[in-house]
Amino acid sequence: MNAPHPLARRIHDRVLGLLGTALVKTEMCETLGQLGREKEILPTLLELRLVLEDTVVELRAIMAELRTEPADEAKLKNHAA
Amino acid sequence: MFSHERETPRSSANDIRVVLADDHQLFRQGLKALLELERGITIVGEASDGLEVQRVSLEQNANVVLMDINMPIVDGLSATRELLRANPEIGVIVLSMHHEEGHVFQALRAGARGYLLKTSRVSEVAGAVRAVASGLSLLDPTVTNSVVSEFKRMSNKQTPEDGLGQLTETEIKILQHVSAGMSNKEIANKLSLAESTVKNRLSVLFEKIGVLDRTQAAIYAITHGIAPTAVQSR
Repeated sequence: MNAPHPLARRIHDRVLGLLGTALVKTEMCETLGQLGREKEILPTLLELRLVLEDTVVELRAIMAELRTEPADEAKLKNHAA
Repeated sequence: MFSHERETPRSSANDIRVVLADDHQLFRQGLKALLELERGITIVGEASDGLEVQRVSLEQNANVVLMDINMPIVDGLSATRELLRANPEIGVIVLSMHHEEGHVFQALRAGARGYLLKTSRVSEVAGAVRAVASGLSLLDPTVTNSVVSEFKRMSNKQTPEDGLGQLTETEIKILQHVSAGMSNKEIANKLSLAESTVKNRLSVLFEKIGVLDRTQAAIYAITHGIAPTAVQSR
């Protein structure tokens, strides 16, 4: 198997990992509602929000890296010329 | 959907003893909370890396381990291999975000008896835990297609009878060990053969069953019911 691109690895390890956690948290809210444990839903939703905030931070960082990569390549080309 | 298997948590001596291995603590916490609502399942330990999961699973006498692939220190696939070497009775289910067939095949080759995606509902995870604990194997429907395609590709090259019927007893044993993730050296030690003999026998074996490498051979063993997991079904 080919080695994954570093960004692909980061998307998997961080972003998909966080989204996996978010999915579990949503299922927890659903289950807590079904069990009539409404008081526990709000703290779980707050945890879900934190996970989603972390996901946004991670995606922004990856996007920033993707934006800078071509610029660096252009700089290198100019330098070589 | 509320599973009919789900009820007020209560553990008994007959419960399936499960260890959760994942480096995302919040994921583990959530999964643990939900699985503990499932009848007949007890979470006996947690681990955040591939080394810890081996220690905890053996110490807690786990029946099933839910294993992430990407973990620090030792990855989930190596941890699966090592854990099953120490105790082949443990059922490992890989629970991952990876849906690529390469990861599925590597997991099966390492000896995992189940492969689920983290997008699965907890009721599906619980179902897989029960299936694997009873000696069955289970794959996520999303990844089953790639395994079936690989099987078809191999079947088109050669009918099962063509290859399987030609294998000697020793070659079948070698194939079983390959599917358990053992190296040539380990197989040689196990069967009291020279490593070079194992290497030569493997080349002949690959030709007989129409595969190109160890991964394909492991899939062949699993799909033809001669892998150790199938042999050791309880």
